[in-house]
Amino acid sequence: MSATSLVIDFAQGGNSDAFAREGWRGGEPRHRWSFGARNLLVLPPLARSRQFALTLDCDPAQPPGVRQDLALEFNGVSLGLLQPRRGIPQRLVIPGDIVSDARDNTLVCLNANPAASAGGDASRALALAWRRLELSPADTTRFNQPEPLPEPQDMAAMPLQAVLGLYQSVGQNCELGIFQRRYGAEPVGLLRFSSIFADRLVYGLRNRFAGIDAANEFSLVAPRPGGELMGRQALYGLSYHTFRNENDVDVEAFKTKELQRLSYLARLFIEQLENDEKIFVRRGDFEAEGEFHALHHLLRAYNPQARLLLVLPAPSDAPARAGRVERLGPNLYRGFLSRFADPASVPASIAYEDWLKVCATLYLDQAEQGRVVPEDCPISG
Amino acid sequence: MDRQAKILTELTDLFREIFVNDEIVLTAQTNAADLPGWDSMKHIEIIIAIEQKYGVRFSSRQVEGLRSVGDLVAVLGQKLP
Repeated sequence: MSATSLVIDFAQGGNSDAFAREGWRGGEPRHRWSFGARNLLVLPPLARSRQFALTLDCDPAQPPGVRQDLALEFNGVSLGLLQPRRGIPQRLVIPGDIVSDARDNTLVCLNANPAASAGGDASRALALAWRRLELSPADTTRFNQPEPLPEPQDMAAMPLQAVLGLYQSVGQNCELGIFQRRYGAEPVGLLRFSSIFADRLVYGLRNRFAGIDAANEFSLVAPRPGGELMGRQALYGLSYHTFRNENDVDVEAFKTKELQRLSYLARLFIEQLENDEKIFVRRGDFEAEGEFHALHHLLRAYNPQARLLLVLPAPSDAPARAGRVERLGPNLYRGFLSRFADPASVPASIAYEDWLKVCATLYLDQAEQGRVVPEDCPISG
Repeated sequence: MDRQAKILTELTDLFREIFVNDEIVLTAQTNAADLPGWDSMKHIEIIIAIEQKYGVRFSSRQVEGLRSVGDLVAVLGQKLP
């Protein structure tokens, strides 16, 4: 039987040796370099799906500000051109009919402009530092009989901070957190300004994020010298905004504080789960019904009434679904946006109106069920 | 000095240390809008420092429900023996 999904971990000790064929260096502690103009990955057969989501977590070798192009071909079919950016996973959809469930699949990466090597040999020039590759079913049509929730008649009359404060992010990135901030809602959340891959989230939930404050798993990185420090927690794959600039803090002292903060936020996160205080929101990448139900099952291990909202872009053939919410089952919901924000132009590209409508619609539903605790947070900024 | 006034004095010292600002004078009405830099990140830092200093624990709801220093003093007062 074919596997349903695939995760390649390119770090030393990971599983990438089984798939990397041409144009790969040896694994390093956190990543593995591809080099030269062409790299080949041979992937196993995958069980049929209408479409697949391919997520690439890799950093370009070129320095920031220098564009680096990556063209992808899957079984000889062009998937298009990507411009990888440091720390930002790339995601694209692969039509299911080009993925084989009977024979090996090939993924070819074509590097138009890898960074020059020290020895000047272009064929050995570094291309990308790969951390992870995920390929999983992305079929959004298989939920059984979703029930549309009624839309609020008068959103302006709703207590906006309480509405937005009801939601707590469980990734995939900071879009929800920044949307909340725009309207003055500042719920305290471990993953509010974080990116976290689906499998790391599952791992974290299974382990109650134990060891999140381990110093040897944590680093602070300023993508731009002197600019904002990003926190990186390797064990759970967190990458998050600190909103503090490298030039404004004593980095070592700040690191100590961040470890304390992570530990504290993990405790509060578990408490919010156990007490059913929030609706947990996952932005994308849990489209397959089985995966999404599995995530909900994990949350329900903390509290049987745990609520989960999956937010997705509206299907291209049904753009009017943007802003709407559907009940997929008890305490399980799906909402749609006209688009996800472009990470390169956040917050400007956030679909604020759609987010508002989704949050207000579900809040109204929860209020009618008596499952809303009116509260907001006074802390802004 | 009554209990709440004592807590307020101690919190003032704590805030001065955290914000590195000896000019801070807290009142029960002081809130985030009154103190530059009191954002959601700093808020967590304050709560952690208070938990460590007094050996208490705030619940998630309490942390999110605090609207002013007065709220903080009141919640803390309930937790202390």
